Amino acid sequence: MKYPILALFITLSCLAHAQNLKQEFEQGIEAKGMPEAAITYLQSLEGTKKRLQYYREQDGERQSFEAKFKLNGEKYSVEFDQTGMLEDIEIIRTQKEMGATLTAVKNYLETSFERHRIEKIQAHYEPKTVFNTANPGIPDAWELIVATKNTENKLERFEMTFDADGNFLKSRKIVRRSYEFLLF
Amino acid sequence: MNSFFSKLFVLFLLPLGLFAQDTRYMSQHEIALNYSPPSRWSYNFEVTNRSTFPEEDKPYSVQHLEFSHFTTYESGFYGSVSLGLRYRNRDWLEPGRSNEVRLTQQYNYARTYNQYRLGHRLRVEQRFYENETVYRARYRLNLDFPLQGLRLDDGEFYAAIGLETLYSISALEKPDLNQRLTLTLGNQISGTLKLQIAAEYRKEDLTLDQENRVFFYTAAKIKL
Repeated sequence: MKYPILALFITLSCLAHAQNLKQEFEQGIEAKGMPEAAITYLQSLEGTKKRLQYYREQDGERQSFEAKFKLNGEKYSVEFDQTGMLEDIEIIRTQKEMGATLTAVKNYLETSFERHRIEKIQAHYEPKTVFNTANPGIPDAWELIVATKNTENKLERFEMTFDADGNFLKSRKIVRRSYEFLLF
Repeated sequence: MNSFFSKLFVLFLLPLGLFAQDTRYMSQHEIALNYSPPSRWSYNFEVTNRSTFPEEDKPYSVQHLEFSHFTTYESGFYGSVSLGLRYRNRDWLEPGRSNEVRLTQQYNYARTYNQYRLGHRLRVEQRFYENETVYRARYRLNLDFPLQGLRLDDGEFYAAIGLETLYSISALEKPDLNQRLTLTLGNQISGTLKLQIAAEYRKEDLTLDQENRVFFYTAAKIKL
């Protein structure tokens, strides 16, 4: 009884792959799947990279690559375009590490939302010729993941970008991961 | 892809070592409809059927049909409370066995850590039978994660591991402590359809005489 079900399951899964018209996915890949220029750039970053993982992201026609690793105890995420050109470097930071910028960010959040919780902070660096991993300097922007409750009692999650001084630049709503398929 | 298949391999081999000889095998099939309008409320409807695997002394038999509904309200950034009503019909299939009406109160708390999500589910149930009422408390710890990359996209597989402890009391029987281990493998066929298979090992009557059951689940989860 269980084998026909398994077969049906696999067939349907394959069908879904075939019918997947809008190609939007990311997947883990091996180093050899990365553009050469990207690997060369990563090697130029000083220090020992731990837990290095590579990802390929497909969004319609657009393809990009990402490397995630730990360096000097900090979590890095480095993005490249299709040809391996550096797009940006992001480092995970704590609220404390944001320093005075945090005050400006919090002011914005407190005036815009009834309640909020900062879930993740990343210091965002635009491409530059030499990136000093020992002292990355002041970031070009801050990217935050914030869970919010607005005055209409609605719970949402946003990816927000602030400039180096903590001025709000833009936000993008994050689609929440559904849970009902595992809840009941 | 290597790590994907090694995860799959472990997922299916792990429970085999647990099965004792005096184990009963059951299968359960579910169709669930989930409706989440853009508010803090969401609704779940489910039809389930449970059957036994044919054995030497007992042929294949359907044990019950079940209709459930849950209404859920998001509470806080990571929590939700639900109220559930379930009707389980046994009488149509095995005359003489009591039907059941079940009320469920549920609190769930789930947080995401990178691609992993850890969920705590606490349930209190009142199970009304013809001649008795059973009160049951249960707690489930559940970990789920995508198997291909960091997020679940269409056409990709996901897995979940759940461990649940259940404690029942009633006026007619001794208290009953159960333990369940569930391994789930699913595929997000499309934005509206997920298909799941799962194996669940139930260690029943921990405080009384020992009995084990293994369930094989198939489920279609449809998002309206």
